[in-house]
Amino acid sequence: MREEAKVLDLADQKMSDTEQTKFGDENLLEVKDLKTYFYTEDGVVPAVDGVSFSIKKGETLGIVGESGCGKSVTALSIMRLIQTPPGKIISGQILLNGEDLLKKTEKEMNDIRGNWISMVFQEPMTSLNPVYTVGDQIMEAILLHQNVKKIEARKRTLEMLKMVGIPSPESRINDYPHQMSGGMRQRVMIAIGLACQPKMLIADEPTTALDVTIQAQILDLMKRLKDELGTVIMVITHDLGVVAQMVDKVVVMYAGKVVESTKTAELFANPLHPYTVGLLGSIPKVNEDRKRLQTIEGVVPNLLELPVGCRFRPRCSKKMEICGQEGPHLVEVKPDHWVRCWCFAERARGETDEGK
Amino acid sequence: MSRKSSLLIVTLIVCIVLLGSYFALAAPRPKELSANQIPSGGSITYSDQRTPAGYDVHKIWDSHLDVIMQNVLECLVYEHPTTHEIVPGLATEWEISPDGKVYTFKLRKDVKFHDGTPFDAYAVKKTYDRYSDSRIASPSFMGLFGSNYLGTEVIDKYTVQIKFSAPFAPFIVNLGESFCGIISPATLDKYPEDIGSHISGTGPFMVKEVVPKDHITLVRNENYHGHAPAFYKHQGKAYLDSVTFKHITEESTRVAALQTGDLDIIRAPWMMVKDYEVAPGVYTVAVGNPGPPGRTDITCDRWPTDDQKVRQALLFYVNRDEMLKAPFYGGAIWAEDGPLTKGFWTRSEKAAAMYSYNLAKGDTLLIEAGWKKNKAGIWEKNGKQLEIVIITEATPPFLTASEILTGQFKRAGIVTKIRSADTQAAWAMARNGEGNLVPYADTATDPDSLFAAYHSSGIGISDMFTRITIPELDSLLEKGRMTTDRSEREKIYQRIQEIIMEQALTIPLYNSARIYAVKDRVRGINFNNRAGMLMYDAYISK
Amino acid sequence: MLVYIIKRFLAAILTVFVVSIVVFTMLHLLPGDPIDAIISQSGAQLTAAQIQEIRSNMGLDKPLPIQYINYIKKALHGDLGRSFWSNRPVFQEIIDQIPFTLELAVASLLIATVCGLTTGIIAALNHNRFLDNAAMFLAIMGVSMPNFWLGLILILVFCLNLGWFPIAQSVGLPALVLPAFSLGIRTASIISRMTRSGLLEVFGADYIRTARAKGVRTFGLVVKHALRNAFIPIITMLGLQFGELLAGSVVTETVFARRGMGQLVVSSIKDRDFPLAQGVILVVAIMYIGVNLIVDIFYSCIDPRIRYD
Repeated sequence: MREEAKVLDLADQKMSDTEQTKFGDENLLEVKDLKTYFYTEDGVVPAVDGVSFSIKKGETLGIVGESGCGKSVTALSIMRLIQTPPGKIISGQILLNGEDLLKKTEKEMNDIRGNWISMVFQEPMTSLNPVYTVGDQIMEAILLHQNVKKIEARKRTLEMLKMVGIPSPESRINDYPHQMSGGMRQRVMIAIGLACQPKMLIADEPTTALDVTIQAQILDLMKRLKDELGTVIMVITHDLGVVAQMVDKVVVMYAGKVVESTKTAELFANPLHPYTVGLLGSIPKVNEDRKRLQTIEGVVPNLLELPVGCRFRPRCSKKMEICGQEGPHLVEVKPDHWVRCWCFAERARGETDEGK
Repeated sequence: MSRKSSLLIVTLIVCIVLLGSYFALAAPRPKELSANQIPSGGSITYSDQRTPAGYDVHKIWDSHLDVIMQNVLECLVYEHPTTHEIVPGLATEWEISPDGKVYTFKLRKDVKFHDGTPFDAYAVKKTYDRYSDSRIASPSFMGLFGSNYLGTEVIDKYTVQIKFSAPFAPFIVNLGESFCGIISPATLDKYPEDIGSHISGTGPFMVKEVVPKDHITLVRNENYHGHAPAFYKHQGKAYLDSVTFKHITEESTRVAALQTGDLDIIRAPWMMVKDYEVAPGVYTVAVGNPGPPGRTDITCDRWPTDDQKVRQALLFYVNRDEMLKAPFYGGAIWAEDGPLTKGFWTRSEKAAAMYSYNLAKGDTLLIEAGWKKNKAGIWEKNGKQLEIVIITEATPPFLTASEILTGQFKRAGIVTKIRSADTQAAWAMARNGEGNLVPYADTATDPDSLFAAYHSSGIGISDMFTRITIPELDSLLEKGRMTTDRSEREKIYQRIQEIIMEQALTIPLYNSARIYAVKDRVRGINFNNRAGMLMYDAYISK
Repeated sequence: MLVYIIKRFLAAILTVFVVSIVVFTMLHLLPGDPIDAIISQSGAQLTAAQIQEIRSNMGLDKPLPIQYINYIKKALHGDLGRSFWSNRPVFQEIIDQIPFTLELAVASLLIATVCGLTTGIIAALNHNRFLDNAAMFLAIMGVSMPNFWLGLILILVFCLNLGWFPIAQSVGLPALVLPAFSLGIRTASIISRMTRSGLLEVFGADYIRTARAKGVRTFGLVVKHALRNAFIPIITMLGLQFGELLAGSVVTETVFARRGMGQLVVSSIKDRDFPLAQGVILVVAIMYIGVNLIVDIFYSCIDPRIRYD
C-alpha cells in the first residue's frame, strides 16, 4: 500500500512539473550546431552537418526526413552512442538542462543514459537480449540507476508492464522476448525506456517495424505516457502520419542539415521548403483520383559527393542560379518558422544579416 | 677411363672412407671391471622401441617381450651365441632319440620358483600343456615347437620327455627362447587366463610391478644360485638391484629421456650414432641380427621376374655399399650378401660369393634373355619396357631400401615403381604376388627359418613371397627340418643356400644391426643368440 | 525441456549403435588379421596349415554378422571380450588407461578454454588495435603448429635444456603440463578466434545498443550481455573440439610417452587386436557422443529459445 502511494506521488510530481513548464519557457534540450562526421575508407561523411534545434519542457518534437538524412545519427549523438571510430562528434553543444553532454565523461554519460534520457529503437524484434527474460531487462535499468532492492525493482517492473498495457504482467514478466509479438516487445522497450522516469525519451522510428493497427496502439500509448509522466518525447520518423498525430513541433532534415523547422499545424498548413512541399505532396490522399503517386524527382545525394551550394538543388523545381553557388542559411521566415532556402532568404533579406 | 668406372672408383673410395669412419665414430666401450671388483647394487631403466601388447609369453610373440622375460624365466637348454653349441640350462643332460621324435631331459634338482614352488618335471609339463593348449592359440608355440608336437610326459620327478610325431630339428635351439621358459605351476593354477601380470619363473630376476603397456619392473632374485648357463660370466645372484623395462615408442622422446638420465639404455636410431660420441657419458654397441638378412625377395611368378636371367641381372645391379651410404637408412650397418647372415651357423660362403656389383654381367644376362636397350637407355623386349614393381611397408628401412634400389635399377636401365602401404596391407599384397620385389627382414636363430620364406607350401598364405616351387629346394627344406644331426644339417643348408642364390630368389642387402646406446656407468651387458640384451651380468660402475 | 533432453539422449544411443557397426565392419575389412599381425612382427616361421589352425582356434573364420551379433550381445552385459594378445578383459585394459586420457583431455580443454576465451575477449575489446592484432597473430601460430612437432619442441626446451619438467611420466601434475599445453594450444587458438568474431558480431547487435542506451557499463556489457550470446557457437565448438582432443591425444601420448587410450587405439589397430580395438573405439565414441550430449543440454540452459524445440 505504501509502495503504491510512493509511485503515485512520483507520478503526481511529474505531472505538476509538466503543468509548470507549460507556462514556463525553459528548454529541456538545446542542440547547437551539432556536427557528427564519419571517417571511412572512402572519405569523410558529414552525416550531421551543423544541426540546431531545441525542445521545451512538456513538448514533443518530431524529426522527419528520408533515410540517410542524419536524423538517427542526431539522436545517437545526443545519447553519445556514436561508434568511435569511425564516427566522431566534431563540434557543437548538446545542452540538457543547461549542461553540455559533449563535455561529460563516459561514466557520467552512463549515469545519464536510461536515467535522464532514454532511447527506444526501431527494431523491437532484435532490440531485446534473447537470453534474458523481459522482466530481467526492465529490472536491469531500474537496478542500474536507482538504489532499490531487487524486490522493489520487481514491483516497479510489474507496474511498468501494466503501464505499457501488457496483459497478465505477473506471468509475462518471466517470458523471454521470443515468446512475445513485435508489438509487445516494443511496449517492453518503452517500459525499459521509461522505467527510471527519464526527463526525455527519444523514440527512433518506434512504429516503423510494426503493422498499422499496432502502430496506432503504440502511438496512443506514447501519448498517454507523455501526459501521465510528463516526459519530453523526441520522435524520429519518416512517416508524416506519425508526425501529425503525435508531435507539437517538427524539424525537417535533408542530407545532414535542417531545412525547415516549425510547429506541426503550421508545417502541414504552410510548408515552405520545396522538399517539405514535395513530402507532403507525395502522401496519397483518399479523395484524390490519381494514377501515379507524386514523387520528388531524383535521389538522396551521396554524402561523399555533395553538390556545391544547396544540397537539395539537384531535385528542386525552384532552383536558381545562386543555389548552385552557395548553400542557403536557416532563416526565420515567419515567427517560429525557420527555412533553409534561397527562395525565402531573398524575401527575408531585410530581416537578417544574410548576404547574397 | 669411362665415366661409369670412374664413378665406381669414386664411390668405392667414398664408401671405404665412410665405412672406416663409421668404425671410428662408434663410441668405444668403456673398460669392463674384473670379476672380483664388480660391485653389487643399483637400478637401471631400459627402453626398447615397441610396446608389447601384453606380457603373457605364451600369447605374445614379440622379441621385446623375449628380452624382458629371459631375466625372469629360464629354459631347459640354450644355444650359445658364439660357439653355437647347445648348453645346459634347467636341464643338465638330454638325449634325442635316433628317429628324432623323442627328447628326454634330466632336470636340475636344486631350483625353486620365485613363489617358492620347487622346480620339477611336473612344472615343465604344466607349462607346456598350457603353451600347447589350442584355446591359448599361441602363434609362437607353432613356430617354436612345430606342428607335430604330441605332448610332454613326466617320466620321474626330475626327468621329462617331449614327444613329436615327426622330427623337428630347430626345436632344440628354439627351446632357448624365453617363450619356452618354465613357469611356476602354482602361478599357472592361480592365474590361468592372465599370467602376463603374474609371471613367476626361476630366473635371476623376479617381477615386482607390472603396469600394462607402460613398464614392467624386475627385482633381483636373492635365491638365485649356481645354474646360470655357460654364456654368462658369473654365477650366483645378479649384480643389479632392479631393472625397469619401459616402452617409449617415439624415438626423439626416447633419446631425450636418455640424455636427461631418465633412461640408462635405449635401442638407438642409427643416425644418432654420431651424436652419442658427442654426448657425454654414453657409449654405443652394435649387435648384428642373426638369421636371414635384410633383403628383397623376388616374386618369381610375375613378369618380368619370372625369368631367372632377369632376377640374376638384378643381383648384379645392386650396389650394397652404396646403399649403406644413404642417410636415414634406419639401421643398416653392414652389407649382407647371402641368404644367411655373416657368422651364422650353417652359413654358406659359396652362396654368398655368387654375386657382387657388376653392371656388365647384368647387362650380359639381359641381352641373353632377349632384352635390348632403347634410345632412352631402358631395356626393352617386344615393345615392352623392363618394369618392376616393389611392394613395401611405408616405413624405413624397407621404404628407403626400395627408393635406393629404384635409383640403382634406373641407372642400369630398369623402370621401377614403388607401391607402399600400411604394414599388414603391404604383406597381404605381397603374399598375393602383386609385385616383383618385396623388401623384408626377420631374425632367426635356426636356419629352418628359410622354410617359411622359400618352401612352396607357403605360397599365398605365409610370408613366402617368391611364389615358386622348386622340388629340390622343397625336399631339402623338409629334410633339414627333420634332421637332428647337426653336421648333417649343416650340409643340407649349405646346398639350400646355393640353390636360393643360383635361382636368384632373393637379393640379400644389409644387416639391420641393433644399436644400443648405454650410459657409461652401465657395464657388463652382453647378448644372446638373437641379439637380445642380457641383464644378468650387468652392473653399475661408480 | 525434459522432452528435449530425452530426445537428445535417444539420438545419442542410436548414434553409438551405428558407430559400433561401422567400426566393426571397418576393422574386419582392413587387410590382415591378428594372426598376420603377430606373424609379421615376429618373423614368420609358420606353415600355412599352422596359421589356419590358429585362426580357427581364435574364431576368426565365422561369418561377420554372426561375429558382430555375438559381440553386441555380450557388450550389452558389459562384457567387451578379451584382448587377443594380453588375454586381459578389454574392459580392464580400457579402465587402466582411461584416467590418463581423461586427465589429458580435461586439462587441455581447460587450457584451451581459459587461454582462448581470454585472448578472444581482449582481442574483441581492442578491435583493430595492437592487442587485437597480437592476439590473432598468436592464434594463427597456435593453429599452424603440428601437435607432434610442438610436443617434441617442448620436450627439447623444457625437459632437456631447462629440466623443468619430467619426461616420459604419466602420473602427477608436472607430467601433465607439457602434454596438455601441446594438445590444447590448437583448440585455444580456434576458440580465441571464435570468441573474438562472435563477440564482435554480438557487439554490433541491436540489443547491445539497447543495453548501452540503458547505461550499462562496458564490463557489464561484455560479461553479461555479449558473452552469454556469443557463447553459444563457442560451446558448440568446444564440444566438437573434444573429439579433436581425443584424436590428438593419440599423438601427444606417443610423443610424451604417456599412458592413455591414444596409444591403446594405435597399437590395437596395428596388432589387429579386434576385441580391444573395437572396445577402445567404442568407448572413445561414447565419450565423444556423451560430451556433445552434455553440450546440447547445456545449450538449452544458456539459450532459452532452444528449450522448446
